Amino acid sequence: MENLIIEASSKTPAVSFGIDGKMELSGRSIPENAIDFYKPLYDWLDAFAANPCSQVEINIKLEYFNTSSSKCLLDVFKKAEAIGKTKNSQVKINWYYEVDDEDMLEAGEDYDIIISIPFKFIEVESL
Amino acid sequence: MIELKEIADRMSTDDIVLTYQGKLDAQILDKLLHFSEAILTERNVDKVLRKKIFIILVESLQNCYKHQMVDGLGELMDFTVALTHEDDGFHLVLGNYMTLHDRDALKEKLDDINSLDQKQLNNKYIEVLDNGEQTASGGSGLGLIELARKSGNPLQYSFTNASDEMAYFVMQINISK
Repeated sequence: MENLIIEASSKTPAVSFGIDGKMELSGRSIPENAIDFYKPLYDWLDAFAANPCSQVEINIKLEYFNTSSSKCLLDVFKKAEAIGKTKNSQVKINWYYEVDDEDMLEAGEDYDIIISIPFKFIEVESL
Repeated sequence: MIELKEIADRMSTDDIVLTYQGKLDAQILDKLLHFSEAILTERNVDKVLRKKIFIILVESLQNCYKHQMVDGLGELMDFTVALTHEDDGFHLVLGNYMTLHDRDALKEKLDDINSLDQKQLNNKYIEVLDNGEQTASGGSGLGLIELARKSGNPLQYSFTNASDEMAYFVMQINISK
C-alpha cells in the first residue's frame, strides 16, 4: 500500500493520505459531482482500514466546500470512525478554520454532532 | 445604435457585480465563478463575506446547471443570473425554465425551508446530511437548505407560466453584510 497524494486543482482539494496515519485535505472542494473525486479516497481508506496504525490524525484545512462535497466528507469521517471503533486505533480529527469564519466553524460542528470521533477546532490566521 | 452609455449607467447605479444571460454549460459555469471571485477580490470585499458569497454562487449555479432544461431541438435553454451589491448587502438573482411538475415539488420544498428559523435550518441540514441518499450525479438534497442558512435570509422566489408545460423560475438570495 502506498501513500495517496493528489495535487489541488481550482475545484478540488490537495490530498495527502499517509500510511503512517497522517492525513490531510486542504484547499477548496467544489466539484459538481464530488463522488468522482472522493471515490479513490474511499478506496484508499478501505485498504488502510485492513491494517491501520495505532494513531491516526486527520487534518481538514478547507477554505470552503459545496454540498456535493459535504456528503462525501461525511463518508470519509464515517470510514475514519469505523477504523477507530473496530481496529482500536486512536483517531483524531483537527478541523482548521480561518479567523472569523463562522460558516466553516459551524460546518465542522455539524460533523462533530454526527461523528463520534472528537473534533478539535483550530482557528488560524490564514489557511 | 445600442445605447451602451445607458447600459453602463444602469450597471454602475445598481452596482452590478455580474450579469449573464445564455446557456449554462460546464465551461461557462467555471468562467462565471472565476470572474465573480476576481471581481469580489478586486473590490476588496471582506474575506469572510467574499467566501460566503462565493460558496452561495457555487451552490446556486451548480444547482441551475444540474436542473436546466433543453428545448425541442435538444439545446440548453437560456439561463439568467445577476449579482448586485447594494447598501444592505449582496443580492443574487437566478432565472431558469422548468417543467410544471418540477415547479410544484420545488415550491413545496422552498416553502418548507422558508418556514424554518436558523436553528431549525441547521437541524434540518444535519438530518439530511446524515440520513439523505446521495444521487449518482453527486446531488445531496442539501443545496437549498444551505443557501437559506448561509445567506441567513428566506429564499425569495416567483414562478411565471412560460407555456402549457413550462414555468420560468426566479430565485433571489439576499446576503446581508
